[in-house]
Amino acid sequence: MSPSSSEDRIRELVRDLRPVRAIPPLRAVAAAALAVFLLIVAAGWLLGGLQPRPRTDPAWSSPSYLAALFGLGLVAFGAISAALASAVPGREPTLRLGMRLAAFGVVTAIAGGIAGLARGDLGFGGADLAACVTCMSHALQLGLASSLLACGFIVYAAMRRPSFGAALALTGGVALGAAAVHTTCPSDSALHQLIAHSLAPLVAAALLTPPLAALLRRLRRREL
Amino acid sequence: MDGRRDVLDEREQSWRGWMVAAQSGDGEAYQRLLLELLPFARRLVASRVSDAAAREDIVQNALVSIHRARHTYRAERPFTPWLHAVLRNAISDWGRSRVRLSRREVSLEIDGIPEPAVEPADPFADAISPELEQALASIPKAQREAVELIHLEGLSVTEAAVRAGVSSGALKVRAHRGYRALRALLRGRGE
Repeated sequence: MSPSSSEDRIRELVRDLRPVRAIPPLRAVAAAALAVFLLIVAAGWLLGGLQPRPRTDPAWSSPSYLAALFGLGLVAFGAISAALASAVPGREPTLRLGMRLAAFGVVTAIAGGIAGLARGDLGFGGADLAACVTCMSHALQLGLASSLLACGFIVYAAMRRPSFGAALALTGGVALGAAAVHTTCPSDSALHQLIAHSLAPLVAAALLTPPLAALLRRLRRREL
Repeated sequence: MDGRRDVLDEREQSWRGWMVAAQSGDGEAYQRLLLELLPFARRLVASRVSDAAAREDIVQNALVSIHRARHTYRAERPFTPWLHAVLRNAISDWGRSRVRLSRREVSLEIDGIPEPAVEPADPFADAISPELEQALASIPKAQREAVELIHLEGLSVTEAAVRAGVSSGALKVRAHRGYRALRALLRGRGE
């Protein structure tokens, strides 16, 4: 810190003052992230790549399947809210609530997957692994734009911990994608649903947080 | 009780109004806001940080943070929690940087780099150029003392800390800040 006094510092800051536009409300940004995701899903559906399970599919009446879907929804909502709140001073209550919701969602989604395993069918071969990778990459493709939108907001606001914000944004965005994949994937394997759907947000966050955080740091430096 | 609440409400309204005006570029409102915030920030930092020498640095960092994050305040939300969060963050950033700094400095000692131990007859005679002397004179007294004790008088960190009447950790922090300030000043003059 320079040896000048705080009063001198204030004079410098006043000289440096420029008009700024206040950040949009968090709910508007969260809604925009959801809208982007829905647009991508709609495009996928129109192009024929994404077809939801038929209403008569027995999965819709399976509690474990629905628990996983509900859990992924909670993870998406909680993690994206927490990611946005992490970059705004004074929004710590929203951050804490979002993280609790996301944690509860993760537990619910995994519990749903584990409950599904009770039905048996624990076999896992090379084809299953390839299917898991495909579903995870679909979840990432569907949710990445929402994650990046949240990251854009984080950089524009007052980012403090890039890794933390990036991890939350990735978890939330990919959870959205995984929820869509969960409703469209034809596989009835509980193990596949647990690994490729319920765990997809965590896997994506674990793998992609470091490069995304590096990108956020770089963008932040350019902003300053 | 109600009177105190009224005062707080009034203060909140004033700060909020000045911040909104500052966001649209009103320098006068911004200056009033920052000058009004200053004693509040100093009190809050003093209540949480025991190192008196670091408090003013933290307050200045907080002022810069307020400046950089002013666009994250929204007029429909209360101002005081926003301000509290910025101040808390400035304090925790300082705490983290202090931990990082002390780790680095301890590791240098472990590496066995010898500290200067020879005390020249006139310790300042051959060590200080006029530029350095000028720069030293313009950094805060506590930082200047730390730099002089360690690098000009050649005392060990422990001896210098005893002489300055502070802990070794606090002395290292002061010295580090001193070097940084000196570097900035000398670089500024060189350009």
